[in-house]
Amino acid sequence: MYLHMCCEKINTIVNALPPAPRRGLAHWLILPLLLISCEKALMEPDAASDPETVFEEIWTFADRHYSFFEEKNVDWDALYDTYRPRVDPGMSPVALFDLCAEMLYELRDGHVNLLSSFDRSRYWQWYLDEPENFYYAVIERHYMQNRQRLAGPLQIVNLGHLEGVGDMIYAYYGSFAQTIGESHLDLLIGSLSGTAGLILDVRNNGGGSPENARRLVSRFTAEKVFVGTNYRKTGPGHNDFQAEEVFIEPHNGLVHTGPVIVLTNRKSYSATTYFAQFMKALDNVTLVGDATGGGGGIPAFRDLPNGWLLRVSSSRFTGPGGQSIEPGVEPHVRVSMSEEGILEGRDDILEKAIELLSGNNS
Amino acid sequence: MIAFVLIARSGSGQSDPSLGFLCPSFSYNERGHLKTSYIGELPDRMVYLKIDQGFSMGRLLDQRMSNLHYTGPGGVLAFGRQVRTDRYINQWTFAGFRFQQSRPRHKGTQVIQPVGGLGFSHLRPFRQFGPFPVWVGLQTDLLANVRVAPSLGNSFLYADLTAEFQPLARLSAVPHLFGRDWHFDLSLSAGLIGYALRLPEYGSSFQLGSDGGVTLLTTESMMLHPGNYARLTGGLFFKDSFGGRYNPNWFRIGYIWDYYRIHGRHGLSMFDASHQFVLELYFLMN
Repeated sequence: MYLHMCCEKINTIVNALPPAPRRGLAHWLILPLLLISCEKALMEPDAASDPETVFEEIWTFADRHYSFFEEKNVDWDALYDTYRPRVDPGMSPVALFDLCAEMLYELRDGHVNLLSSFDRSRYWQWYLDEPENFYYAVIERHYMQNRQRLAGPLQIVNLGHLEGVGDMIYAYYGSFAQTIGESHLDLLIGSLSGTAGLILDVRNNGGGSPENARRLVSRFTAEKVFVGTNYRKTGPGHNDFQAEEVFIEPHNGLVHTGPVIVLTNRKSYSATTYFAQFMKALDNVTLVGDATGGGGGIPAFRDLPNGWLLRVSSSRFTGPGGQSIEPGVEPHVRVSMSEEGILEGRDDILEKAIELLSGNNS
Repeated sequence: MIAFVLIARSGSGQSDPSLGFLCPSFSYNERGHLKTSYIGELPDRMVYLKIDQGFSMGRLLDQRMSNLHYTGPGGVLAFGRQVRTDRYINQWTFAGFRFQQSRPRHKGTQVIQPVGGLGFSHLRPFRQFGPFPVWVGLQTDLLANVRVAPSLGNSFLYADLTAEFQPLARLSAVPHLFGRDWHFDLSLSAGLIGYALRLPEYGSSFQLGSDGGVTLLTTESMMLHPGNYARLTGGLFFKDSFGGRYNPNWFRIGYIWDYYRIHGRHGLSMFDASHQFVLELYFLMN
């Protein structure tokens, strides 16, 4: 249709010009106009924003990029058959959003979201169905007691000021979205000299950049360590992956190869789950607390025709034993916080870590 | 890169592909080349500094990002060096930039599109078709077309790095209208063959690297040929001297339409078109 319109436009212009030879010249001069007019004809059409197109975009993008269909035993084609008939051309944006959110919820994945100006669809059962296992106020008021150093994203305190506790370092890292610098890490590692070891708390750390996780892990090993295998989507098939082994190289400066205890809970998610898995591969590290929340797929995003954004997990990661980290990384020592402990200002998970390190000390 | 360049001239019936538009009247020397009172004093090998600037309107569709057309304004800036003799025209574009800011129809996202490149062309007279002399040349282009969409999280970056061969045709015309000569250039070029490095290979542009950190290096490479690649560039220019019959510096005001398309793997293609309105300045350096 565009080509037909272009030709008509050119003919109109040419016919309006004086006779040859000027018209011959004009044919050359208006050639660019032909190119301009045909621009849209040379492109795929702009996507429509009606409910049916939006639904198709969402389903298709997830179909081509989502990485856990097989692992979670999700029949995506069957879900299409279930939800597609419910799409009505006249339905409101909110109704369409709710329908699509319901379909995406079936993926049971915290990295799958539909984002609009009025809502964000989510799957949060990975922590809502589990105990909280972290109360910052308890840590701040009863353990750090405003004695901590604030080194970038790290809060670092020697717990030796607590009654009956020997020198050991507690560090809290609340978000891998906050960049950690080498100077912060030098301070942390330097402070471990003469202590029983390190308690590294990443509870309620919802993730961020794995680069920060890698930097941190590289400070706790003296040799290159195989930490798992990353499976990156390389095509639209549900099993189109390319596997790549992941190794952590030791930092070439200050490192600590003594005891490290990592505290995790279900809100230790995404990059924090990667971090927990990396640390678990080190011999000197013990994970204490609850399993991490998972989030083992790097998300990919899509700009949808009606202005919404869609993100889905687009990779997988398995530990050295081949186990997926999507359901979460299991700790070596499972501990939960008790209600009476919380009321008494006691963090049972941290207490367990102190006990383990104190055992090492003695 | 090799290109075939056709430069033709109409109007006077005599050929001068380079500087005829500067002349108040035409006369020719014993070698058949244009001669005027001041051109005769110019060196046989003229070296020009070429500066292009202008603005543009772009249209982008990258199916790895979405199925939406992104449109918006931008700017153009390029620096080059041109050498002209009776026998050839060499042109280096050693820094060319276009910067586009585009939005889709829903206006909710923004794509920042820096485009940069360099190129070289070499032109020689080939044969004469009637009043139109045909020039044949060589041309190579290296182009980096980057799309940054901050709101797309891990999928924020897309890029094509291309090297290509382009045939090129150019026609110069001098119609006499409204009591004076008007000097126009019309150029057309099309991509023939090339090589592309595309980022990302598939899915998100940000990936977990083999060192456990972040990597952006999941690229895919592909040969470009007419089956998967098309590039068309058309330009229409008006040119004149800066004023004064003895001024050897000149300019072109023009419109360029530049379009390219890469049919990527898995049916995910890239389309980019821009309308550029440019002022090209040519300063004689010798």
